[in-house]
Amino acid sequence: MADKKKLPLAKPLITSWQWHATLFSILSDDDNAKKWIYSNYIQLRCYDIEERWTGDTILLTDMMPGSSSLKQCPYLMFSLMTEAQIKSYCGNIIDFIIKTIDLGGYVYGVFDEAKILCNAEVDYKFPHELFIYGYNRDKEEFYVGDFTFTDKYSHNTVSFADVERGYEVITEQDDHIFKDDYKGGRGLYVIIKNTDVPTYDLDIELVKQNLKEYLNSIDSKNHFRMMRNRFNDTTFGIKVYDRVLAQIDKQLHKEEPDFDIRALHVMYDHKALMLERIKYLMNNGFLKYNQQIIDEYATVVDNMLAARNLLLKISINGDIEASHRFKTYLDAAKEKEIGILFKVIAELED
Amino acid sequence: MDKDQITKKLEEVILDVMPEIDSVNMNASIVNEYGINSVSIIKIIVAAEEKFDVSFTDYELALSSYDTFADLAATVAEKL
Repeated sequence: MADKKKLPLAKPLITSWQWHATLFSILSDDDNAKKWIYSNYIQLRCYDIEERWTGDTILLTDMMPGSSSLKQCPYLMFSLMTEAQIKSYCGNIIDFIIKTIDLGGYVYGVFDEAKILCNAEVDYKFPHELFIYGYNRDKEEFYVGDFTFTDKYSHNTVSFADVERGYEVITEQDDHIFKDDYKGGRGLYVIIKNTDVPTYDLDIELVKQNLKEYLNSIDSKNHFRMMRNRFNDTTFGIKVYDRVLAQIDKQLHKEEPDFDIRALHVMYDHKALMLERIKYLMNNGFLKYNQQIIDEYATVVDNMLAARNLLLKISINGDIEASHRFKTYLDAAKEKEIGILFKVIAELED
Repeated sequence: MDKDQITKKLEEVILDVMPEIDSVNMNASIVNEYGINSVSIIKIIVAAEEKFDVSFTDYELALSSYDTFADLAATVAEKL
């Protein structure tokens, strides 16, 4: 075993949810993986869900594929390791993580980050996914990526002891990843980058279909009913703008305003990634190079960033009256985006 | 208010918002040197708005608009 090892990391193109930040931290720089990435992450969806540890209802907004992207991406090998396997193979979680990293595997799983963040004993849990990409045996710490340690996604270190403690207190009920996979139990996931052999071409037919379903707010989950069909009340595509706007208005005008920015952050990431997709399609001959389209779509990104930052600002200065500006930004972004994406589809159809 | 006065007042704002730092280098990279992110830049801007009695547009809240605190001082100067 080495004393210190860090697996390769790219600057993630998007970070809005831990599963996206993890996948993009591993694959953002890879030319083969870009063909899969730009064929996907086009459709948006949102639905109300009760947040497990707070009990609050949140509008869960995400791009498709959502949290299952780590399993479904053809350029990642994503393996489940049960707690029984981990203990049988290595005796303890620390040795398991170190050996996995030595073999080129990233580790992903649910840990109680309240225990990781607070040295003192606390009487609550904050179960959250942790992405582990390296270790330092001399300092007895892991290199991790997460949202919890600063105000935004960042790379940090966590001691072996805190990782062990953060893992041990999570019960089967707390482990929402295993529960979401309908498996139950406890364990970790091993993720291995597998990009050397091209296995997926940029799928223009899928891009066109996704863009049409996005613009027409079509229920894309119908394509996946063989695997998952439990969500109701889901809004798709361009109508997500309206539902997010209504949600922001509702959360800011509660007796105790709620400043949850996640829906706006996902929408900003969606626009930022769409801009990169348009440039990619132009640079690779699928669309004619057109600086005007790039510049115009950049204003969509700018408006979504302004909306997200406005919510951050209101959370700091408490100026709820400023919330009337959200509609201006979202309406401007929506109108411009619809116009540009219809042009993109028309050119791809030629 | 001249440039030096703006710089001095902005340094006070930054030190108030970021008590963990001892001094401010106005020309250092705010991301690499001070770990400023999209949230902390808005905290500094909100404090600067109050201190200088100016308003930033929502577009001017973007972290990418500022490589250094000197860039932020220049934006404040334009508003005075």
